[in-house]
Amino acid sequence: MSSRPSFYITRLENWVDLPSSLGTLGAQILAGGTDLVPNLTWELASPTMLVDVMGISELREITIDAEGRWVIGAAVTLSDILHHPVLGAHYPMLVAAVHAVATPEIRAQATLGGNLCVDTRCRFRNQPPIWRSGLDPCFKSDGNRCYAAPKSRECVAILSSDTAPVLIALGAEVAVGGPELRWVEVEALYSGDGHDHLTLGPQEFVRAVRLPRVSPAGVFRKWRDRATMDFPEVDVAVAATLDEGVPRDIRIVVSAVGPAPVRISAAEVLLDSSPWTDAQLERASVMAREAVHPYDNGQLGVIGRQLAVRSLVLDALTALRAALMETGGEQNDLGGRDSREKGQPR
Amino acid sequence: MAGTLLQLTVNGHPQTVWIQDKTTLLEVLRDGLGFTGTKNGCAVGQCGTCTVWIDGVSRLSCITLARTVEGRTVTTVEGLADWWRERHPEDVYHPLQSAFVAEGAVQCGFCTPGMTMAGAALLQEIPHPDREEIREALGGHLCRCTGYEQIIRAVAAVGDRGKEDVR
Amino acid sequence: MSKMHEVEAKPTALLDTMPRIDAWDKVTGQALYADDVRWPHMAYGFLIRSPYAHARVVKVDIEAVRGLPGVLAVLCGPGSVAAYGIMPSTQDEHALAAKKVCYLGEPVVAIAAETLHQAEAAASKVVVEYEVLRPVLHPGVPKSHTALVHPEHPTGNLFKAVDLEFGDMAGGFLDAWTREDRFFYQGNNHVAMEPHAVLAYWRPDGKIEVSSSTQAPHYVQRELARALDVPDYRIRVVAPVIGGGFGGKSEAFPHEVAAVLLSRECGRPVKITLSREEVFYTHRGRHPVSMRVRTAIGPAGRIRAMEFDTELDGGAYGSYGIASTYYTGALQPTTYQIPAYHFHGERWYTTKPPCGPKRGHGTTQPRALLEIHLDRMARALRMDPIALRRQNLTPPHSVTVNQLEITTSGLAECLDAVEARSGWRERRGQLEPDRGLGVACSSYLSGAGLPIYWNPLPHSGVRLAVNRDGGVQVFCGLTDIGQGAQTILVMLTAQALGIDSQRVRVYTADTGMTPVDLGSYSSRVTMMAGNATLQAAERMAALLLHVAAERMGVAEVDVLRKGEDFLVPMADRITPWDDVVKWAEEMQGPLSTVGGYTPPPALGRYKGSGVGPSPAYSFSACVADITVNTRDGRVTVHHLWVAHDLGTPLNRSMVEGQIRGGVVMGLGEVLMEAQAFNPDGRHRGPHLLGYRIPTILDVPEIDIVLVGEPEPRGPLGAKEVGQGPLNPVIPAVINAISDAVGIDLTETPITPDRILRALHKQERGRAQ
Repeated sequence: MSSRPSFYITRLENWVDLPSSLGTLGAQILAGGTDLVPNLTWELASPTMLVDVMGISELREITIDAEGRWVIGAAVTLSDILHHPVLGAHYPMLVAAVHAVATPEIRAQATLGGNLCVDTRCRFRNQPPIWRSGLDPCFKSDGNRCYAAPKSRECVAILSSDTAPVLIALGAEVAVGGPELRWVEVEALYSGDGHDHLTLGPQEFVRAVRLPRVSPAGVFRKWRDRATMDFPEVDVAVAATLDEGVPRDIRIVVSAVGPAPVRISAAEVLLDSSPWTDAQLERASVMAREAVHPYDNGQLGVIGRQLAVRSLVLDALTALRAALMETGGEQNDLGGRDSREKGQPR
Repeated sequence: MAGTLLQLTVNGHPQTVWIQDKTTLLEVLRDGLGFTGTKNGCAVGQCGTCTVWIDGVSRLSCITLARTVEGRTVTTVEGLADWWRERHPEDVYHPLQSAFVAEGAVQCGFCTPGMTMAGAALLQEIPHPDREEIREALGGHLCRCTGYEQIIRAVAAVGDRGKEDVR
Repeated sequence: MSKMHEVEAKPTALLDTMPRIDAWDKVTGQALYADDVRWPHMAYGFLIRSPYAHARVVKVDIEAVRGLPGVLAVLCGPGSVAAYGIMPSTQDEHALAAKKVCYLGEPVVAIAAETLHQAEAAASKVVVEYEVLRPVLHPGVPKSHTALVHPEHPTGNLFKAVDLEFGDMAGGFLDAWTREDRFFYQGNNHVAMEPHAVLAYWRPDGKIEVSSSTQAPHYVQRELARALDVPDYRIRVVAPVIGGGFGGKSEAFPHEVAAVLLSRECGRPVKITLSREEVFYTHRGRHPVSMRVRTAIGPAGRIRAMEFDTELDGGAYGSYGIASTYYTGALQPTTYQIPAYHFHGERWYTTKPPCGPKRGHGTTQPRALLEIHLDRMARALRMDPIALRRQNLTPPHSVTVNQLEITTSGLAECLDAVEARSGWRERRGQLEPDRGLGVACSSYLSGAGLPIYWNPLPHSGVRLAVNRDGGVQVFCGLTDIGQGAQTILVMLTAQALGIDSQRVRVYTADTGMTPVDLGSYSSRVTMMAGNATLQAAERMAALLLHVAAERMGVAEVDVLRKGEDFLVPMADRITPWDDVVKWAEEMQGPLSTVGGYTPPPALGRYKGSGVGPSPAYSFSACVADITVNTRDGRVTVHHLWVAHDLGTPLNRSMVEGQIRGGVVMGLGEVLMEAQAFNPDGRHRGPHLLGYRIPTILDVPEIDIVLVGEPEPRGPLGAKEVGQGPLNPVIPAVINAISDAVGIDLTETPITPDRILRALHKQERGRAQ
């Protein structure tokens, strides 16, 4: 049938049992499996036990907490989010990102938690078995070298989660389950090292995602080679809230250019303190381009990805400005004039 | 490694199969049960040829571990006509199968089972899909022969047929 | 919405819009492809493949594997197998590597076991020691002996060089305005959705049964016979339902030879199915070609002379390479009159998967450069690109400078059609910034005029039988690879015999049962098997008419056909088909006729003249409407207009499907597809996310126009449609990009990185 290494599947009904199961040597969570199963088939992962969490009903619920915040269970599928009757109206940027993930069949199976925790990818590792068999293992394969960045001391594989940059831009938090429950900002979920790219402890897992009570205005843009199916070469999510006509809480997040999403703080500061003229947005997009340092480990080359960052940030900010002006009416300090033609996420 | 028994319903019939936990649903269908209509074009979820329904939802059987569909209902291209006939006794085949034949949507046929299952699932969800909805729903299905147009027309033709019935 | 038009003046003789005869089996899951077939007590084969692009095989230890659970046979080295290869002059392949491996993925060891899992588990126990050598990734004379791919090859890494000259080159270039252009066309893979699979059984009586995913059972039979030193008649090769070929399944492959050998060893049928990764290593796809063209242009934009040089990166083995090389020079004169023409082609060995034929075989790459070159000349001469082409069209019923006989040609109408429908005159030059229109022409063979190995026999044979049940059986060696060849045979038979198509069954792609047809390549099947079928059917029709006249006691001229019936109006007598068939069997015994087709002799008498001739040529033109995003380098194709002259379209729906499929494949080649390699010889991404083909959402609107007149040599007037429409798409898109943003690209695929680099270079050029 297949040379997939052997493993056991344990199906849980209650998340309380999860930490101890995860404590077993070689245990790994199985949710939708759309990332994990291909990796098993290509022998990129070799767990001895998979802990199937899809039977844990608490992880599959979309609820509102006491403070009126939406909480999405980690095992809620991406298509459940798309089909939710009201979530989309409140968090259009999240829905746009979810819709940009892979294909309808994969979205019917993949989960939000799985998308946030999706393993990092690299053109020098995510390859089929014969391809890899003649190569010394890289950092990601527990070796001691990097083919994408030979001088790097750690793995530079790419985080391909489309929801991560959006949830960071929204200021969402994740509930990390484990021996103890803790809430962290989504940004804090990522270590920056492609090999061990999550900051979760050995018995910890993502239990749920909590969205802010009121969504800021936001725009998501994805650059991929084809119009569907492909992983992102660049993701951009921008968000801001209008406070008496002035944009505040500006977040500019670029992702899929390294092991963790990147906040473009300089550009956030720039746009926090000055009017959103075309020239300022252009400056912000150049800052974004300068803040990221992609390697040639995706499908698009380095130059292409750098310029896609600039293009997408400018496009997203321009669209955000237009959205803010629409909600802010006359009383705003956006300073925008000729908003450009809007590109569609691909 | 020792296997265990898996019980599921395939095309309306309960089946019990001896599997390992690492076995995929595609392997169960093709190798275990002989439903070779479901194809293996890439084995890792990148082409759509292995699409089946799991409880009526279009899914990729190559990236679904069989253990995770314990007790559930699977429909393959071989069972699509039966599934339809149960609900529409006047028809022998699913109208999308007839439309694929009539519109020239079939060439080599290797993507056809996946395309048909995805298209039929779309028609359940959206009875009269427009062109963009069809393209969106079939986005995960590669076809190298047709250039896709006649496939779009086949799905649209079934949707249009339904519209006339409503009138 | 995308449409298909036929030019109104077209004298169409549309026979049928009959659905494909195999469509129902394919929509119900009944169709059995090679990997779906099971034979009793079948074993599973697995190939251990080289993980290095270039290495010496120091040691292979298979002893540890014998006796492992389920293991039935283990093989390594060439053993008793002779070298084989599709071209008689270049027999350079073995199923299992001996001393060296020359591409990553080359098979070294073959294992058969009770289950695939056991075969794979056993494979992990085999020890193969390699001495890794530097990969050879580019054509050119190597610096050291270790960089020779095949050290025994007499011309080093140069596989073959060919040189042809026609007409007065010196005179043509004398005092003429000239332009030179260069281009690199990247290689690419067929990506048929069905990965190759084979099931082979060496029977106890020494006969060999093979069921394989192949486009050419006859060639597989022939190559297996050479490799195994077994008479051809002992080998039967059957192609089951084939999930696409596009040229990628046109010869014998290591896995086919290995399956036969494993079966001989273990006495059981052995199946080998390739993974998608293995398909990319098996390859035989489009050659990467570096090209140079230089053209002398006379007054009014008439071509006076042309030099065309091509350098093909052939990969590790010969495959169809010698034919591919000649094809890179053969068809330039079929579209444009070139009074003097010099062609130089070289194919080089490199340590990459072997290249071979892919849809448009060897003509796609030079066609891209030629059409780009014409646009650049038009720009320099301040001429409209379509006008420049019109100045130079090869007329119908003419002979080209390289002795190719052109019969019907609708190329001028193709250009008219795409010019009119795209709004070329009104829109070109008037579009919004960064948007452009581009045009290109092309032509292709309706079957190669000569077979792969020289022989004077028919290229296609048909045996037709009429049974007393009133049904008709057509036996022909052709393979339906998805293009609908079986359906065409049914239609032609029904038409020629005047019967309902339901009466006709076709039996194809079985060397043990059918007369030889060379295979489904070079767009030859409708032309050749179609003509052979018509001949057999017409002979049968004559026989039945003769019988009917005799039994009804009238002269043959007095018997008419009305529907299926045989009618004698003067006697007011009607005899149904079924009765005439029974009369005929009563009088003559079981009813059978044969038909055959041999192409008309080629005109050329020079070395290399075997590549290029065809009974007839198809012609195409394409206009592309695109926008370049200058910020991120993305090209958006809005619309393609494609006009194609295929003579008489026999089945409208299938014709449309062939054109659309070819056009979209061309779109993939120009924008995204690349069989490219890392510096260590590893494929950039041997999977469907690393090697991307267009999805349904990547396809623009495509308008199709059918033009042309019936081709006298074609069956009921038909010419080819399976390959030609791919070719013009690539240069049309590239020319449109030049029109949009003024950059001259130098290689495919046109990725955003390449656009951005070219734009950057253009900016720098302007600044200086």
